[in-house]
Amino acid sequence: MRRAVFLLIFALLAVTTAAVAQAKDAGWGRVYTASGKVTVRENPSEGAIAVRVLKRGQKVRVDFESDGWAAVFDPAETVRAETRAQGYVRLAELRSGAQAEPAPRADSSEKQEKSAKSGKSATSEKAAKKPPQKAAQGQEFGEIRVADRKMAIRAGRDKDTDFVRLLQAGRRVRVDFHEDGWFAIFDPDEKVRDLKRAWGYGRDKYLVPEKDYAGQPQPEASASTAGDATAKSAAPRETPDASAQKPKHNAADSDTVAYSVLGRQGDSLRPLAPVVLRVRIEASTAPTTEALRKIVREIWKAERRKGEDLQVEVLLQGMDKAGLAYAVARFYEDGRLKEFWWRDVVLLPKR
Amino acid sequence: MYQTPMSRSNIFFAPCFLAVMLVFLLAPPAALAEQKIGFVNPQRVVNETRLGQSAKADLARYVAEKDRLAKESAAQVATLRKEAEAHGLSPQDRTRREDLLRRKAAQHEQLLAENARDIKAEETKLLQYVMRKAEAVLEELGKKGGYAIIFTDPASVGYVDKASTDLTERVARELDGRSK
Repeated sequence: MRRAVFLLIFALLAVTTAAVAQAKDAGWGRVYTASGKVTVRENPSEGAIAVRVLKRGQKVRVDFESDGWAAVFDPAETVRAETRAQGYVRLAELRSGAQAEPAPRADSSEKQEKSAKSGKSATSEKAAKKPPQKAAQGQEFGEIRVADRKMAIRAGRDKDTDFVRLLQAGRRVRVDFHEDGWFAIFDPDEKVRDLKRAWGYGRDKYLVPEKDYAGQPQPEASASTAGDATAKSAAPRETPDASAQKPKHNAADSDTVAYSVLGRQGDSLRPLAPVVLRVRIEASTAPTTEALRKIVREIWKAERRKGEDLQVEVLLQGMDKAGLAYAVARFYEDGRLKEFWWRDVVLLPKR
Repeated sequence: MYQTPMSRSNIFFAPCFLAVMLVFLLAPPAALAEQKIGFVNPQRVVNETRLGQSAKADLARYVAEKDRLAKESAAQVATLRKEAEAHGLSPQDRTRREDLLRRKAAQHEQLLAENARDIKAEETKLLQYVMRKAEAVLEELGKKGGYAIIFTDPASVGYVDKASTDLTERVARELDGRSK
C-alpha cells in the first residue's frame, strides 16, 4: 500500500514537472532555418500551387504537422492558429534542408522565438510609450518590410475596417507600431514617426523583412502610383498616373493584377448561402488558371470579413457588370480553395 | 345557382372574345399572310454552335469540380465507417465514432443534394447566357424576315413545318459568325 502511494506521488510529481516545463516553453511549434529553397504550398499537397519559396537562411515557424506536411508561419507569430499560416511545406524537405546546417533544436528555436518576441514587444512597448515625434534628419524609425503578396491596407487594426489601398506584392514599405498582429504602414521614405502619417494598417504576416523576400521586387514608386490601388469603387479604377507608370503586364503571366470591387451581396433568404463578392480585375485577357487561383485567393484574404463565407466572382475588363462572371471561387474557413471554376463561354462573343 | 368568380368573368368577357374573333375573321387576307411565325430549338442552338459547345464544356468542368467535392466527402465517410466498424473498440468509443459517421453521412447527403441543385442552376445560367446572345440574332432575323412571333419553347409547339418556320439553323449560323 505504502509503495502504491509512493508511486502515485512520484507519478504526480513527474506530471507536474512536465507541465511546468511545458508552461515555461511559452512558444509553440518549431523554428527551422531553410538551408536551400523550400517551396511553400497553398495546401498540404504536392499538387497545390506554390505560394512562396523559402530562401536559404530564412527562418520559419512550423506547426500543425500531418501526413508529412506542416503549416509554416512567420517566426515572430505569436498566435497559434492554422488560419494564420503562410502555407504548407513537406517536413522532409524542410528537415533535409535543416540537416545541412546545424539542426534547429527545441531550445535554440525557443531562443530565436524569445528574441523575436522580446524584440517585437520591446518595439511595440516603445511605440506605445513614445509620443509621436519628429525624427532627426536621416534618422529612421521602424523597419523596411516587403509585401510578400497583394494585400489590403486598412483604416484600423481589423479586417472589418475600411479598405484604404492595395499593396502589390514586392512593394517596400516602412512599418512600425506593431500591435495585435498588425503594423502601421508608412511610405518607405517617411521620416516622421507619427501614426497620423501612416497610410493605414496591414497584417504582419504578409510583410516580410526585406532580406527574406524571395519574390520579384516592385519598382519603387510614390504613394499614389505604382500598382497600389488607392481607391476601390464599383467602376473600373482609372488613375492616369497609374496607367502611365504601371508596367504593362499580361495577366496571363502574372498574378499581381489590380482589381476593383463591383459589389458584395448576401442572400437574406438563405443565411447559410455565401456572400458573393464581384470584382473586376484589370486584365482584358484571361489569366492562366494557376494565376487566377492565386488572384482569387489573395482577393479572398484581402476582402473577407470575420466568419464570412465569401464567394469571389471575377470579371475581366469589358465584361457586363451584372452578367456572368468569368471565374468563381469558394473557400474553406482557413482560406484554402474549396471550389474553383471558370466559364470560357463569356470570352467567346466579340463585342 | 352558385357561380364561381371564374364563371362570372367568363360571362363578362364572352362578348369581348367574340369581338376579337370577328376582327380576325374579317381582317384582310393580305395582312394575315404577313404575320409569319418562326420557331427556334434552344437545345439545337446549344448543340450546334461554338458558343453552345463552349457552354457545355464549361458545364462539364463545373460538374467535374462538384464530383471532386463529392468524392472527397464520400472518401471521408468511408474512412469514418471503417473506423466505426473497427474491432476492439470500447462501447463509448464506438458510440462516439458512430455518431461522427452519422453526422458526416448526413452532411454528405446534403452535399449531394446541393451539388445537384447547383449543377442545375449553373446549366440554366449557361443556357440563358447562350440564348440571350441568340436573342439578338432572333430579333434581327425577325425584323428582316417579317416574323411576328418566334417560339423558342419546343413544348409549346405542336407542329413545326421545318421548311418554312424552323429558324434554328439560320440562328446557329449567324451566332457562330458573331462569335468568331
